[in-house]
Amino acid sequence: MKTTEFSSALLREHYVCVTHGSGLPIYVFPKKLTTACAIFAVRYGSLDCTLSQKDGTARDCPAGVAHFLEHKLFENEDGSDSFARFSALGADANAYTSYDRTAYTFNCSEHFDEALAELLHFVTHPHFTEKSVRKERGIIAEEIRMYADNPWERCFRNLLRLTYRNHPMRHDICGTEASIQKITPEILYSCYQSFYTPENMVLAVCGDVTVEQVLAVADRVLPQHWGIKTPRMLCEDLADRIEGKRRVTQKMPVAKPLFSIGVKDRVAGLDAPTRFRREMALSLLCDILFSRAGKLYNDLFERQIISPAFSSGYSATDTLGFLCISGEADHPEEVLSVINGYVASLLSDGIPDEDFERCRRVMYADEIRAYDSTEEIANRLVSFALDGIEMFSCPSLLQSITKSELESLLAQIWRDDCIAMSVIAPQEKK
Amino acid sequence: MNPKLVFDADALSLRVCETDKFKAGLLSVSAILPIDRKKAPLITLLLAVLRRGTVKYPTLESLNRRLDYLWGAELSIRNFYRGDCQILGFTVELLDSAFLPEAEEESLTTVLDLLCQILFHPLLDENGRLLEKYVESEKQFHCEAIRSLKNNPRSYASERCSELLYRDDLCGASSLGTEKEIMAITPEELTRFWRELLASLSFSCFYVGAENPETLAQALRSTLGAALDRRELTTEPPTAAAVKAVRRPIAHAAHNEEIEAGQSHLLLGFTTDTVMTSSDFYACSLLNEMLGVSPSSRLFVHVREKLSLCYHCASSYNSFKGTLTVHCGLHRDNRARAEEEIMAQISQLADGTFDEDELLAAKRSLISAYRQTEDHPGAAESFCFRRSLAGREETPAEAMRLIEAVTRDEVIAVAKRLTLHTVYFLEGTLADGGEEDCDEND
Repeated sequence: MKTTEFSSALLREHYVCVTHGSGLPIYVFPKKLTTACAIFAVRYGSLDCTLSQKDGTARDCPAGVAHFLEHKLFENEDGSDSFARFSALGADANAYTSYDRTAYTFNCSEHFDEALAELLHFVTHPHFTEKSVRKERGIIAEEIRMYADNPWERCFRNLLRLTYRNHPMRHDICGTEASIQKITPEILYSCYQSFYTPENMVLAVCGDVTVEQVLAVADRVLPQHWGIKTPRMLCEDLADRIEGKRRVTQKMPVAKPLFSIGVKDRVAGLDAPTRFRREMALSLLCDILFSRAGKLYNDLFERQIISPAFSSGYSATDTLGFLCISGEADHPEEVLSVINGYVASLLSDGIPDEDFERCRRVMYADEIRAYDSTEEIANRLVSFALDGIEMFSCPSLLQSITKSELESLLAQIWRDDCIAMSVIAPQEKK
Repeated sequence: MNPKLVFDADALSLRVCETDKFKAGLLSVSAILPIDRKKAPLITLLLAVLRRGTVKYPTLESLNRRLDYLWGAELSIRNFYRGDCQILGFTVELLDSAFLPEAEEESLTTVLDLLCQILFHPLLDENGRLLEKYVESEKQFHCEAIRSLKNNPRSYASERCSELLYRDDLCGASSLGTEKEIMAITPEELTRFWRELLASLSFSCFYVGAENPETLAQALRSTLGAALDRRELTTEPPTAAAVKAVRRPIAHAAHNEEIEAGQSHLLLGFTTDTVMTSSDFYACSLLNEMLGVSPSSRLFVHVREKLSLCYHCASSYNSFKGTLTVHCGLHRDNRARAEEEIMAQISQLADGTFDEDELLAAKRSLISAYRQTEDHPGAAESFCFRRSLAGREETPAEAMRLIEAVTRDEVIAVAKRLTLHTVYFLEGTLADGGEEDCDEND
């Protein structure tokens, strides 16, 4: 077994990465807190909707399979439910699906070994039946409706649909009420076999536990191998701009218009460290441009062009990047026009030193604070492992980002044909 | 992690959990008032106005910049109800100085000074009134918040059920008020209210982190303590009782409302006669746990998993008011089946149709939640604050011992007392999710 240890003098923390005999990378981060957290994650999310088949052909799956699978994996062959088993141990289990990953997790303050055994067992032993799949459709349909009724969610989803016309990013993570009707046990098994393989997964543990303890459970519970190693069909977003219309409006019963402005970024072809540096730099830039201590926010706020609710963020997968700004305003076009004017002034005059330093400090603090929770640490371990980045490199990487680097990134991404806006407008009074 | 009382003066007290487990410390500064239907919205508006600008930091931008510069110090306003009390104050989160990459000015005193600036030295005009510009714009935002309540059907349904469940109690009063009330408030009135409020407030502070308790006490005394001592008039702090059980109704009330949404929301509010200070408080907490907290609870297993009626079905217990509320997001056609099943599960618990394993799992889950409070400064603060407010002084360890000792009969006895008080149904009238009604344009 290959073991690598990482430590940080600044954070006064360390963790170990071991590759298990099955090929599964296991990360253990010892932390003297009462709560231990384990996450078993797979590099498989809603964007992975094409299967590579044995004969080399590709097979398209209905939208929402990764999420459906996440729901169904808790069910065991003997009819028992893993949630109940975790509960009997006093462990709090959960799971989530994102665009590029699915994660199964638990927190506990006792019976860690038993809970870890349960996690490793149920994720590596799928069991789907026609009856249970049929039953799950009703539950997921309600989940879809719950999100659809939330205007912020709807606004964001409409924006993605506009921005990614020919890419699975336009599909909701849960799929649609129609697409989940097409999901069968056979599709679930095929996707499980293709994606749930040791090499495509990661186990991260943080708490008052030892590497030996975790490995002992892994050795006892994990099969020699599971799944069938299949080449991953990366769905590249080939369009370097937003094709077609760049505005979308939907009416809902909201009091005031909500908006989401999206800036499409291209990261395809970049290696992991370059992509990660870009992600960090663009997150910092986002804060400089849109934070509540910044000139732009306060100008919009003082002039009552926007309401207090206002947020921004940059996120990236290994094939695409996306910057989003959301808020409430009577005239969303005016907001975009003020933002464009501000960006133009930064492009001509440069980013003020004070803003750069201030936002760097905020981001640094966020980085340090992340190491106060076992759950957050385990989540970070998973993210960094799947992205292929060493987690402790963040604070020094942040210090190495320069103002001129941000200025050139801003010039690169802020292009009219890469910016779209989605609005949820109030309905006319009946 | 048991808090130590560092000092307890007339208007200011400090409790500290000193620990080097965390890289950031948390300080809460809270004043407790009885909820007053007229004053509650005024407090909400006032806090927003005070946060806009002070003599030293005249704009929101300058205030926020100062905080950012202190390595992302977070200063948040707290304004919420606990039982029949309104809690107002601040929370401060500060990075421990041991983790700063360069020597820094005294962050703690600076943030506390900022807090005092906000409370005692807001920007005033030449007539000593709160700045009209800030008051008027915050009134607008406040009214928008009232109008936006319906934006999220799920939280709106929850809000409406609380209004009905607590209609005869202080906490049934909205902390936002009505648009008409808010628009009628003048800068003079708000200024007068600010001065009166300040004259009567006393603050309890709670800190979790690595800062030396004496250093912290000194910083608090020299900032907030000094400002409180300088107050012009002092009236007795109002007495407030947070714990008061909602009375058992003679018959339950049912309310239906429609909303243009795909999902409907069914809420059932029950009285339990058990509050945090009751001897069977933990029996009631366990009943809630068994009914609808975790994915192995009755509501999750039966209403969601077995009958596929919903995605979300959970219960919550308000131990200040002795109420238990079930919330289920579902298709409108499934209302009757869901309601029937929820009531059937409660009946089964009251009949004692559960085994020791189910009770044991609930105990483990609740004990685990209490044990984990020491891993989160916010959870530790919340545990101590809630207990202190209710007048039930105990440590998480004592709470865990009491949970262990709860018997099956005690849970059954509490379940038998559950009385339906309010049924609220927010009916989603959209046949489909309205997914495709978008207009794209250039």
